[in-house]
Amino acid sequence: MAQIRDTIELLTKVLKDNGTHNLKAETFRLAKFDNDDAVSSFWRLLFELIYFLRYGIIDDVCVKAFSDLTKEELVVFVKREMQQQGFTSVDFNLLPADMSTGSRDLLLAFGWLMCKEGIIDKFMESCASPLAEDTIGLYMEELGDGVPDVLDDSHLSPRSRTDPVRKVKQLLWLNGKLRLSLRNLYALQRERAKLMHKLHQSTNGISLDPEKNHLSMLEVYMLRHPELLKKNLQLLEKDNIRLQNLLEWKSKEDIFWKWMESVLDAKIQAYEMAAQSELYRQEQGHALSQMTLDKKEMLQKSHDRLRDNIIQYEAKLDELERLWNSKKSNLSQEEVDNLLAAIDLDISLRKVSLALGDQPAAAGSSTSPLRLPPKEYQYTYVKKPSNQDQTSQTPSMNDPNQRKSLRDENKMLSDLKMKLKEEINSKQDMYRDQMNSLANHFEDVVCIPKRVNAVGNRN
Amino acid sequence: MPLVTLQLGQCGNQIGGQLFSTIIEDADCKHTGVTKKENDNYLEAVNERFFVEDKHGKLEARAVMVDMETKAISKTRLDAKKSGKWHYPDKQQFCQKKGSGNNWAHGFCAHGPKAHDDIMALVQSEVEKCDHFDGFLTLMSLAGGTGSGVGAYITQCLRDEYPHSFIMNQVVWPYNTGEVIVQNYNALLTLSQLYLYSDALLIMENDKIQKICSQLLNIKHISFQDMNTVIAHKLASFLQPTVRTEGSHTRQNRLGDMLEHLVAHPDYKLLSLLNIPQMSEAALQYSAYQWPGLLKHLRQMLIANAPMEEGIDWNVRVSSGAIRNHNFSLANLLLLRGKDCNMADVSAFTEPKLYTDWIPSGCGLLEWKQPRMFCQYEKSASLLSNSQTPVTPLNSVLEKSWSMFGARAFVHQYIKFGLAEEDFLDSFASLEQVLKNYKDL
Repeated sequence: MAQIRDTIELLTKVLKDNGTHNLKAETFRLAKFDNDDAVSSFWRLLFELIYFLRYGIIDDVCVKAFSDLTKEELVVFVKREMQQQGFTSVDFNLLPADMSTGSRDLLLAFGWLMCKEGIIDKFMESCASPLAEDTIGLYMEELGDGVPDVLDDSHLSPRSRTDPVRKVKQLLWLNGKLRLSLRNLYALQRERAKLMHKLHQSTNGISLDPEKNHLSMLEVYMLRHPELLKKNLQLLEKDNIRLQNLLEWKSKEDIFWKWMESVLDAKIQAYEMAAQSELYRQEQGHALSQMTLDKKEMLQKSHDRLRDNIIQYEAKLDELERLWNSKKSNLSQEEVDNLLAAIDLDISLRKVSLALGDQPAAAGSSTSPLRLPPKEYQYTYVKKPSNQDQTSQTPSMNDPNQRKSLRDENKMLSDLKMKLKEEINSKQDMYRDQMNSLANHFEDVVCIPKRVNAVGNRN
Repeated sequence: MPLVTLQLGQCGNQIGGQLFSTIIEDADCKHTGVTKKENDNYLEAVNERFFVEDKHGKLEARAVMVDMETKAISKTRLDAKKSGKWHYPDKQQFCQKKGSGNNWAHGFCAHGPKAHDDIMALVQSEVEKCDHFDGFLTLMSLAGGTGSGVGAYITQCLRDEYPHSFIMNQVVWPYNTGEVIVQNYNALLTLSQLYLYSDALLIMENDKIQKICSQLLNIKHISFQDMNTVIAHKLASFLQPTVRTEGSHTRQNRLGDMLEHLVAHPDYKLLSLLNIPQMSEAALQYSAYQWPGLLKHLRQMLIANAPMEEGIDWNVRVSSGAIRNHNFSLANLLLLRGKDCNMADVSAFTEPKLYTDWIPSGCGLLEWKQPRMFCQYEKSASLLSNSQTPVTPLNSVLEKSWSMFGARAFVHQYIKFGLAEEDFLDSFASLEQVLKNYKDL
């Protein structure tokens, strides 16, 4: 454990090399013991790392954004981003927005993010030698500037926007520009090749690289501008240190992760200790467990529902597949396309009805434009109507079955009426008792129930 | 970024000689307005662009000289040698004993093909001297036989052999009341031929040059020498090195960059050149200019289609809507040279109303700058413009050719060398189309 301090110091160095603010190893120690002094530092670190993941660099914009955002905005932003990354710790999400407490959870979140996104590896990838000869990346931004977006025709007068002749002229103009640019580029390319050849030829026999027998462009450039050597040497040294740090980190990484485990243990311990305290349970735990219980139930329910639906569709899928196989040979491409479109539509209808009422769309299938196969294979999505749905169907009175079901319906409704009446009675009794018991608490009050109304209701 | 110059015919050779000596004069100017280091950079760019250093450290022009008579070439070479500062390369000349007799067909159909191999060998050896070959500048006149006929033929050959290079033809437009009776035929045939193969045609009108000589420079008896000096001054004012800052880099102007901006549309290849101020050396030392005034004049010269800064019609205004009375442009290239050129405000040239309406706004103007003074002018500006300026001269050439062709006058002289009447008709058709395109801008 003696090494842990060195390791964390190394980590802070690596982080700083890559643009984060200056973190102290002490901050990590404080965070382990959930000390509030470390909180804001870690929020900032998380923000910076999220920015890095998104844009590949921590630059001035990031620093500016950090100072511009209020504490609350920052916390909300970081929480949301962490959620999107898949970090769903409840404790983390319940951290206060004023950055007052919770450094241990932040430390854990940091460890999780670092591990999951391979941040150190990304740091390594972004390490590029300052002497790399391919510098096109540096110019990309500048090249993008200043060139108006000519394809956007909003700057043209209304006449040219509508007049096809002018449109064609503009396109010809653009085409010509492109053609001449290419010619220019070609000329430059040739010049480069010529110069490079000259350079290689005149440095023939001298080399720093055993595989070549000439100097590279950069080497010659350095020879010509010796004042740049010092500058580049510094850059290289800086880069070397960065890489050295990263290498060292790779070898010591496990110490850090072991330490992180101890942080997690500390959290679990603290949680257990707190769990014993009744106060804690009432303040937070109760509400929390209540909420999770509700959620769990809900999740279970929707899970079941999803499974049911899948099972229901599975059978249909099998059937479709069978149909598909039998029909495959004599279907034209066009028909297949139509069918696919129809199926898509049907599925989306189903989705909508699921979202709306969670009832399989009985109506949807009857209006479905699905091009159904011939009669003997025809199937329908109509679910066997439940009793409640009966009235909404359009029954044919001539059908004896329908008449019978109407009778059933009548019977059921009268049953329901009876049941409701009973319920009303029992409720009235219950409330009367409650009123009486309440009335007993007050000495000067006599409670007279509204019997007349109640009787009226009964009949 | 070397340019290879082709001097064709008497006119082309004279202008070429004058161009190189103007460039050398500019390079040798004592007053540069910049530090020694900046001036050295400028000179290095000038030398690279127009000259090769020979074995004795002397400057040798990157030029190929072609004429069917020996007179003009030997005179030009002699003048160059006399200056002691530069000379033409040996054995880079092609001449014959017999001229083309102001007959385009003689040049195009007879002299051209016969001289093809020799001329292209000269061109190739000149191109091979360049590390980075920027393009061809071809100097010729439209009226004569050799410059126009052989010139048109050679341009076609250049395009065949160097399909990816830039070719700019500087053509001297004959006087309206011309010296050669078939000059309009020659101009017609040359222009239509060049339009197929060249990237850009820079027009120098004799009438306008003459006006500049008489009114601005106050020359009493104007010689060709005087006019060539004006043309060379104009050419040098845009060919001499300038720089442009893009982001954090600066880059030298190259012919390719300029043409990419000016003649992107294949139907519009006619360029004209305005420059300001232009004056005699005597008047130069008593003059002082400010950027706003210079640019205001230059802009009015552009929209009122005036060849020089005197006698501009200030009533012409940039208008929108149905009344279009100003000179419309497709693209403009503005070159500012001299003191404080980086402070000059060029926004007056970016106004979308100056340009035809299918050019996206902001794409009409490109500017290049050079803080070093040009030819002792403390401040000077040149505007290379692809605009409606050539409409009037083109119209006049076409009209006169039509009336002559209607009577079939002199046509047999052309047919003698293998040209057909259809060739005339094709040329008419293509130039009428060019004229219409420019009128409709």
